[in-house]
Amino acid sequence: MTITQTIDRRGFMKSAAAGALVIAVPFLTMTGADAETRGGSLGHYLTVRPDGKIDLVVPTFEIGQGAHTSLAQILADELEARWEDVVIHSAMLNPALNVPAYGQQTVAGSFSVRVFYQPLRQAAASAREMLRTAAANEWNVPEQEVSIADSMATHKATQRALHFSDLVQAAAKLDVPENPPLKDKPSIIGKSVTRKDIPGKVDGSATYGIDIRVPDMVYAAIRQAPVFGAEVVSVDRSALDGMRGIIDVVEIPSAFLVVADTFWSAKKGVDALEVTFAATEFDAISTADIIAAQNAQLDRDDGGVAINDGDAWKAIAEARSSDSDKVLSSDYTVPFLCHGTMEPMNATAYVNGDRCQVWAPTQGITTATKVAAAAAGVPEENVEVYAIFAGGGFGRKYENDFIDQAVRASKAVGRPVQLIWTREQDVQHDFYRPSVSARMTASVKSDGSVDAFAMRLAGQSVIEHTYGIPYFDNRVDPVTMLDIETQTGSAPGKVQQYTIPNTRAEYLHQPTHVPVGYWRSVGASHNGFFIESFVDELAHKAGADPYEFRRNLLRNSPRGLAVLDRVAKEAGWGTELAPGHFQGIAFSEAVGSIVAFVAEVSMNDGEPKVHKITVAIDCGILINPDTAKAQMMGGTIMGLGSALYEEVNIEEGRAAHENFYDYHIIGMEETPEIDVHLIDSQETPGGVGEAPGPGVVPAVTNAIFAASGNRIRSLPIMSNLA
Amino acid sequence: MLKINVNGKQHEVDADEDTPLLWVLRDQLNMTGTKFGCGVGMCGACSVHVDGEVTRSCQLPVGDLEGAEVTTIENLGGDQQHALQKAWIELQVPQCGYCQSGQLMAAASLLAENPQPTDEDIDAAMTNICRCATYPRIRAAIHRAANTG
Repeated sequence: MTITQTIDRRGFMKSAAAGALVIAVPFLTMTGADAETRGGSLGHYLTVRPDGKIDLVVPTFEIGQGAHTSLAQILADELEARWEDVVIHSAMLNPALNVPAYGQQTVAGSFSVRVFYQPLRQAAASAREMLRTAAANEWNVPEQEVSIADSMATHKATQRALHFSDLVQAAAKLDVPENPPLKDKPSIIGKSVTRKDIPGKVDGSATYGIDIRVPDMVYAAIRQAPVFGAEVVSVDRSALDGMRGIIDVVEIPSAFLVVADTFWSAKKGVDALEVTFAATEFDAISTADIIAAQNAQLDRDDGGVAINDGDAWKAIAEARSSDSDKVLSSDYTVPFLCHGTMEPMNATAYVNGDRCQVWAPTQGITTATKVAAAAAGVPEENVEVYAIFAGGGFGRKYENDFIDQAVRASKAVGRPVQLIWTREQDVQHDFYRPSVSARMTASVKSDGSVDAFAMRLAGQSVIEHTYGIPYFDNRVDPVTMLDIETQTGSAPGKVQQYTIPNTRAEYLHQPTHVPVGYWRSVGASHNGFFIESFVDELAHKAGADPYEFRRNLLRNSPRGLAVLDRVAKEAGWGTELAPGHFQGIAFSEAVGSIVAFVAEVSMNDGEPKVHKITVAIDCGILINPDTAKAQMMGGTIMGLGSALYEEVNIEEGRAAHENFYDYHIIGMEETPEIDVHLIDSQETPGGVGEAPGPGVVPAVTNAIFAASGNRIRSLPIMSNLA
Repeated sequence: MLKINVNGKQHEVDADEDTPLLWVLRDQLNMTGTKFGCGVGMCGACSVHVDGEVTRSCQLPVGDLEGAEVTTIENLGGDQQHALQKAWIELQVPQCGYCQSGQLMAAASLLAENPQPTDEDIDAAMTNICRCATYPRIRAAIHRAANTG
């Protein structure tokens, strides 16, 4: 994977071995008389309570993707813990739980199951064997005669049994086995157990970041400079005189906050204040300027080279002068997008002397800790960040701007402060999915095979705000170029799972003042659209059926072919459809999983109606099939909504949108039938949350082409219908 | 002091009359199951029942509630789990779950008026936004609750 290699090579991050999970750090403090003889911790991730409940600490954070339950399933399976007794907790700061690719504790890149599947199994197996040894020692019998199941050790011959809670203290004194045997047959892995977080999410009892209540807490509302980065010139506080509950006004770079006894008072205060922001050099910038600048970049031939396999430009030049081969070139663009998490940005912070606590719906506590420490002016070891359930993340809660602000506000007023953004702040101050332009060029041989495939992308750098540089040595932003190449570990070529002799991918950096970031599927969210729309164009240019054309491209990828064939079969590709209905097909590999879609649409008065989307995925070994299905369903619909409706336009230097009335998120009525098929696979686990987004978009636009002859090359669809 | 009745209990709250019910529930009564999503009555995350009717509480001044009965997600099924809550768990509807309090309140209102809704009825009634896009499971769970509840 590009970003992993690049970051490791540059030495930006050091990742601790994720396998070093069994460390004797107590997690819960036992209380009561029972605690002295029963219960205890076995490694920081596992605590057995005197009453038999088993607290499992999982490395990643719950943002709706179901990773808490899936990772706990992996642990409980090898541990042989009784699933009903498992209680799941988010990890605190611990470098052993870093996602290796990032060197951080974070939910990103659909990595949770991918990177923790093996380490968690090994850690839990070690613990299981320690419990087995403790039982064998207690009974003075050979270890192999002790069986472990349902949180119990049993010696069948003598009909003795002990619960984990009676064994954990002795087990904790044993050496950790280095290579514990892993189970042959899983018991909980692969089962659609119900998610542990869901009961609290249907009765209002689940605690999200915004629900945190700390003694003596006050609330803050914020107004940030409408033009990104503009300085505050003046704040006239006189309007706050006589308003209820106002505590303070806190000025921070490019923004100010009003702190009050309730959020409503704080918000009224923010709305009432007269504020002057300084003019900036960006005050006249519009979307048209940004797109024009990045489109101009597409004419340059000196971009950073992400992929160079064979000689694509030479092959294309030769094809241009040939009588039989065909060359096609098309330009595409995608707009800025909002994350639009249902829970707006919020954080609760308490700076108390040289200590700082933060409770936040965050996707990453490593960077949150650093940001909070800097904002509070305290050492990182004096900071505690608690990752609370996030009401949606999609990459937005990987950022720490709202944590920085909450910490500054708490420091200013000397009390715990909960900062809540309004939806307007959220829409106008996102780290948007970048706008990207692409020039796709390819040559097709007379036999219909693709000989050369070149893609040149121009846009903002996603990594720039994270790493402080727009690209690495090869002048490529690896996030923009994500999931062009495989993450599965095997592919016949450099573009997806396709066999193409000559491939090239180039990146051109087009900076803007608009903040950009990590939006579900990140670079793949547009690369899937670019690649699969263009492959569809090539199929039509070659006079081939788009499904058969892709089958030929996948001829050396049995796994890819199986997914494509499955979706075609399930969707009835090539069979007779309802009158006026047409299908589009797309293949996509993203986050280490292989996905294919068929979308069925009709055109009514020039507008598309999407009737059904069929999707098949091979994401390797499934931990919780129902969760995978849910993610595929939701990700497909979110991708569809983004393709149809979503765009952030920039006017006069600012986001020209305010709320859900002018940033359209897909609703129930607009959602078609979604038919998800999970392929039974023994491959290494791949990601799921970000797997569906890239392929659904071109499946729909390809179907629109089939229905209308209208090739959608700019998104969103509804703004770009001919 | 303003008086409001929430989930069968009388409360006195010290708030301006124009304060939306949402913020009184969350900040003053500490009932955080009702969520803030958009503040403009679009997304429905803040949905509650007022005298049995689904209402977006971010648009409802608390001063207008004298004599009204408010029901929130915390008391949707009274002492029991509502048929919809049961169906929501059985079909594993929530992902992030943040909008689901509002979805459930909207669905409960729909079923109270229309015990056997069609897909079209569901489309018309369920205008709450879910960014995780759990819509197909919401639809299925409403049908399930309608058939079992």
